[in-house]
Amino acid sequence: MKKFLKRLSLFCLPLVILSYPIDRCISINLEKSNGYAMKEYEPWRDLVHGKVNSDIAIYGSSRAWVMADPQLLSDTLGLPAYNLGVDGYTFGMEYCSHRLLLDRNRQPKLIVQILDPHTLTYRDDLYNPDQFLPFLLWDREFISATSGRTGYNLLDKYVPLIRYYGKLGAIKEAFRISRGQPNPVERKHGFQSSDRNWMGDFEKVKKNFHRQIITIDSRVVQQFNDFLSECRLKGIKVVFVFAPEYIKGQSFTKNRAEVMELYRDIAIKNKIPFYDYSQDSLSMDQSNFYNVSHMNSKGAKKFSSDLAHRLKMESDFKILFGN
Amino acid sequence: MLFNSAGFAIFLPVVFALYWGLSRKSLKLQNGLLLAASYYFYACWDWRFLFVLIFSTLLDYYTGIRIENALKTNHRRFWLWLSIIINAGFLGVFKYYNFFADSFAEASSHLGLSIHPKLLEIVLPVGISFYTFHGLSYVIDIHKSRIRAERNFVDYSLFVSFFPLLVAGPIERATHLLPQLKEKRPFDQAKATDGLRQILWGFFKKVVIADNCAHFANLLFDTHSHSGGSTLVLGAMLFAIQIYGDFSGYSDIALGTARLFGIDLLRNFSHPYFSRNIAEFWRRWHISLSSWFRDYLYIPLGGSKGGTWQKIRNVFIIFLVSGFWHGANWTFIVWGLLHAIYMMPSVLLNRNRRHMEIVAQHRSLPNVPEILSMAVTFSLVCFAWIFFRAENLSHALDYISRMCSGPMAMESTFLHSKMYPFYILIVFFFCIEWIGRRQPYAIASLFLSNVTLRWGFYYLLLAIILVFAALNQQFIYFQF
Repeated sequence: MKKFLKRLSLFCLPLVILSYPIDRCISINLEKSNGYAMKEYEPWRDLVHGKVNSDIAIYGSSRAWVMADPQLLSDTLGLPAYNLGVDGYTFGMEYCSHRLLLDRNRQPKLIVQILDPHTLTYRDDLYNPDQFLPFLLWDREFISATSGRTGYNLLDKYVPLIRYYGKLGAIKEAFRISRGQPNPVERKHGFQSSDRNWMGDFEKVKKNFHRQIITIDSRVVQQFNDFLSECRLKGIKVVFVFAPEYIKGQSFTKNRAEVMELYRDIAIKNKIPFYDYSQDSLSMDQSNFYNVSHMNSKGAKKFSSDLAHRLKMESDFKILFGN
Repeated sequence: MLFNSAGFAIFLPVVFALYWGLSRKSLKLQNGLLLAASYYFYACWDWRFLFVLIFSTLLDYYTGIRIENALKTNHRRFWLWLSIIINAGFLGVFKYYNFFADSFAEASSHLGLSIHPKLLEIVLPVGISFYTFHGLSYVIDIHKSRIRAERNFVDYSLFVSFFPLLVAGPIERATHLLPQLKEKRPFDQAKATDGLRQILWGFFKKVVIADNCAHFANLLFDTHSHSGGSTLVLGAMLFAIQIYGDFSGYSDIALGTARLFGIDLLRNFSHPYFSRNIAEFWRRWHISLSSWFRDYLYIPLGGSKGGTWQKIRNVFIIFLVSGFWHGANWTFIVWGLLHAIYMMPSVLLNRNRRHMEIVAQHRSLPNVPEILSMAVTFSLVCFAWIFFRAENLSHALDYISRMCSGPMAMESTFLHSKMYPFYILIVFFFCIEWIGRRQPYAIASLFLSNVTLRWGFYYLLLAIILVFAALNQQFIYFQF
């Protein structure tokens, strides 16, 4: 038995010794990729390596990612801004960005929290799990953000190389990047607008669409409240923005009024300005959108300009922008 | 708990350590631990299935003793048939009830009768076909006085439920496994090393070969109406490779795992795609099931001892039952029927005992007639697999008609340079299988004389598994 274990250990020794350097080698190259994992590496990479360092941080889901242009905000407000929108996730994952931002970057002065009907819901699966690949090993923020969700197990998080099992695409991409092949920048400070026009026949979609009921998750609400308290303690200003949503699509959510009421209550309770664009003229014009909840580049530009001006005029933030 | 899951990667070392660390001095403890581990392993699917497994175990344990104790032949027969009927009843309810009810309703509708049978909404317990056959062979063997009834309930339960073979075989015989469970099992380094080697090869077959083939085979079977003839031929071949890699890979992992605990299981595959006729194919494919049907159905029916018609009848019965064992679907029955037809030339010409040795036993390469006969056999098998894979008969017939009538040019997707690594892996796999065709499994003695080459080869396999593993594919035979 001892001999067997000795030989087995001897066989495994090179694997153990080499697994970490190989893992690092893949991860370091992979995280440089701007196109893989649906273009999510750039903001994660900047967060992890302390390169966000902006006074204005924009939080939210894909709606934030494609609609809030940090450059426009920056130009108008005179402070550097960064868009940390994470596609497909609700506040649970946004909180991971927040933790990384506070721990590894300069503290922002203002957080623009872009809300959508799903912000305070919870999803137990990991959408686009490849976005966490290069960062997951031994990183407590990513481990905590991905725990309790299907997608990665403990071995993936603590044993080098295991999470690359069967990830041929990721390994190929890392290899491609290591050879210095083209890697164009896709998102600028986390933002990327879309030139797409309205997709599909709205009336047809409406006919086949079953109205959804948003289920608010009390754990996420608690986390959201904790986040707001933390911001207050650290002197970080927060603003809620319910970004434009195409007016005819707003009826797709059955309990939308109830969800909006909750956002309003939280805003009032925490004395946070709340800009609701639901009834804004931007939400009325279909040509600003490529689907009911996402604006195209034309719409995003209009929305970002308007948001920048509103922020500039906001009395609470005058001290930030020096006007 | 799947063999290719993180759970199993933790479960196996823990059980191994407890087995050899804490309980190696006591056979009772070893068997008790293996039984507990096996029940835990099974409960990971659905703990409710444990009741079915335990009931089936109790039934055969009890009837086995009653058969042995019975003084009159009638009583022995009564207990045997009781066990057979209840076991078959369980299979019937869980696996076949809906099929029969549906088929009956459909047949009635052809006669102008409208019948709406009540269908059961039940899930098939994993491995029920396998452990039911374990139990059946046990009681039949006692009835035939081939073995004595087992009095130790733990040992008998372990025979039925030993986790490596519990959910997809090999279908063990009491005459082979029970004596091993009754003997002291000291640690055997060579056996354990061999077990690990077989597990490694099994994983390679499953996660690299089978799961990658599955991706393309599923694509082609699901969207066959968009593909041309040669592409669909490729689809059928890929499914043939998939099912072989999947099931023989599973069997290798099962056999290797059992060897880690000092237990030898029956061999289930012996390079079936190197067969030169269908009879040889069936001596090399799912051996434990084929031999089960031979010993408990074909021979009791008279085997090949009667006249020609009896032989033909028995072959058809065997293959129809074998097809039906795989699932309650007409596709499996047609698959069995096709194999029965394929067997006819060998049966009628009394040539089914030809090719008992592996092809090119004493040479490195096959000759031209051998290559041709292997190609013909493989083609026939691939054709039958279309029925096995299809959702229903019309899907299979549609696939075949499209295969014969659609445009013959291969789709560009399958000729793209991105596919080359995949094809190279398949060629590599068959080359290794060919080199190791005289061994119990392909890499059993590969580079045995040179430790550097041997370990280098294992590292290469591990690297290929890490990089090329395809994810999220179940084992095909778990559904049976």
